[in-house]
Amino acid sequence: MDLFSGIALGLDVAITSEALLFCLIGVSVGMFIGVLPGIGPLAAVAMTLPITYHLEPMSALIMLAGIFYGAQYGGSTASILLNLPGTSTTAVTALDGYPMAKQGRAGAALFITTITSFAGGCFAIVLVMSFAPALGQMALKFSSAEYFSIMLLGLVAAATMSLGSPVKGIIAVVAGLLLSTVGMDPTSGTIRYSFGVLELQDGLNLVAMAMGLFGVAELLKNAGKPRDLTPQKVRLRELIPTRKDLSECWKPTVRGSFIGSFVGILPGAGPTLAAFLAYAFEKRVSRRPERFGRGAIEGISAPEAANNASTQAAFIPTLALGIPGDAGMAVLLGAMMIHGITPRPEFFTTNADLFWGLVVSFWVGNLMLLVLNIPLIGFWVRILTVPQRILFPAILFFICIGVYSVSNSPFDVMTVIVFGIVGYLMNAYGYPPAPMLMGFILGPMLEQHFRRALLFSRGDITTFIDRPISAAFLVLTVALVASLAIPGFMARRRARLAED
Amino acid sequence: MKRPGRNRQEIAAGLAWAAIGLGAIAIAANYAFGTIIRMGPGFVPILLGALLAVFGVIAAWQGRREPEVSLDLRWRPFAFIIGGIVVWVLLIDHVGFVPSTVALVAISAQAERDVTWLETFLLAAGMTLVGYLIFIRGIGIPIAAFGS
Repeated sequence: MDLFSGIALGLDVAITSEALLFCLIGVSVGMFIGVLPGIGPLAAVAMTLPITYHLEPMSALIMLAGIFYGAQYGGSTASILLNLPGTSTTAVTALDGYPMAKQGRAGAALFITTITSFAGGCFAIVLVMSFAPALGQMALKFSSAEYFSIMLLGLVAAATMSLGSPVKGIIAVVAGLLLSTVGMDPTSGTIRYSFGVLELQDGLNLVAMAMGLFGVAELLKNAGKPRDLTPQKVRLRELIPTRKDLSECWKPTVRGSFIGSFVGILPGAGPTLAAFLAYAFEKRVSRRPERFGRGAIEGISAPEAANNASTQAAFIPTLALGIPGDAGMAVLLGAMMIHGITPRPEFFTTNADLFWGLVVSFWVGNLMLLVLNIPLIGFWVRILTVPQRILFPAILFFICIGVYSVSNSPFDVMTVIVFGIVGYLMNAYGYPPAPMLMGFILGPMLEQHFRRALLFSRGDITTFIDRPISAAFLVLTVALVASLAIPGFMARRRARLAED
Repeated sequence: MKRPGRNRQEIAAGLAWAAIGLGAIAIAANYAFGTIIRMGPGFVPILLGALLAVFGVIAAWQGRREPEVSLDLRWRPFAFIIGGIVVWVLLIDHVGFVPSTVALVAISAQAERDVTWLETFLLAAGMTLVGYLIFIRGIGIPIAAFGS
């Protein structure tokens, strides 16, 4: 199917009153949750996942995706006005956004982040449309060896390209893989690691785990800490950026979109890395790098374009290969599977309406966010000032009822508690919880393909390097690990990140 | 908080991961290991357990040089947040949605020191009502409002 007939099909599906309604609900809820300080896109999707169980798969997907990128938009508001980023992704935006707000330019900063987010998102949507089906075509030839190698690359990337220690990232991934083996082994039927607990025979619940690691753990981290909740003032007439602002931000936006899209396509590398890279790049090419950190307009436009571009571009590996780009995408992938949609190469032909409908809905949703964000800025600012003592019990309630309603299982809610504490401890000691979730989600597929590849090759381990595509993924994986072993590279990278 | 030198907590964390890895191997030893052509259910878990043990030791080794950071544990929010969920789980199948949600909100609101009784009351009543309307009347999840 060519691009234009695809778009036409997508318009047919996405411009129905029902699809528009769920898209609007999705982006509004996402924006709302994203604005709340301390809660990011991942927790937003996990919290609202159960609500979508009762919807048609198409509506559910449109809504969940809307929540996901809507929360990305919303996160920058808290960064700019309060210097309290919802996630590490928007932490970069706070670097120059908050200084701008303190200089009385909060309105212009919000306006510019909205526009550049929109531009970055749109750029990446075009990429998704052009490349995801092509990648799907290519992936039709993949055998278990290729799947194993690309998942390995994704997991190693997730482990080592996060901001902390790579060793801790690898530990998190391996722990996640190990957790994924809990329950019945599909090949032999053996029950593994159930400790005699009946509920564990079906394996751990993804939603419960995600809510614990990213919901409860975040609350535990932030609760009891006093916060300064007086946002910088925004006046409506300041919203319009000056001509100078616009001429200064369009080039960084284009560069940010490119960087973000590239990072988004890589499995395992998410929007956080995209934003950091785009910021570092702008600082390097700038003629006056000393303005960064003091309210430079390039410092908000490039990372915002990059993180939204990568959020959208991450749909390429997710839909074409079933391999999520980051932990948030992994939860979304889990949601698709719950709705009986398994992303795989054939997805683009067998579920063409679903694919094109979803992609066109991205556009609709991005447009809605643009319209919602700016006129309602006063409303978003009010939400920011809701104190934690009101906010946290409400979030906890949604977590409990959401997890419980998945299968009316108190055991799942207990799982939330356990992973809440695990996530809290991991954060405290610098072990990133996101790679653990990636490992947990990819684990069963990784094990199946590993076993199948070696079965087909009659135990010959060289099957992974004999096949050229698989070999290429493995070479990339090795290169990634090797780059960490070069001491100068690590030191420079750490220094640059610390400095930023 | 930070001083150069040995970080006992970092080392302990790395060793804890290594112990989990060894534990995973010990349990997986009961599952059929199989051969590399036909792997049994124990093959991959043992491999993963070994990886975890090795990297746990590496993390502990690296932890020697990290500056000392101690865990900043605040008991009040911890107890009330975890306690709220535990109470909700224990109650939900016995007394129904309304009482358990009131309990959850009332308990977890105490995590912050500055909450007043009036706020707690309004929040508990409001959240329960909103939750009832969305989840029981709206979506229709099968939970009794009162009773089991």
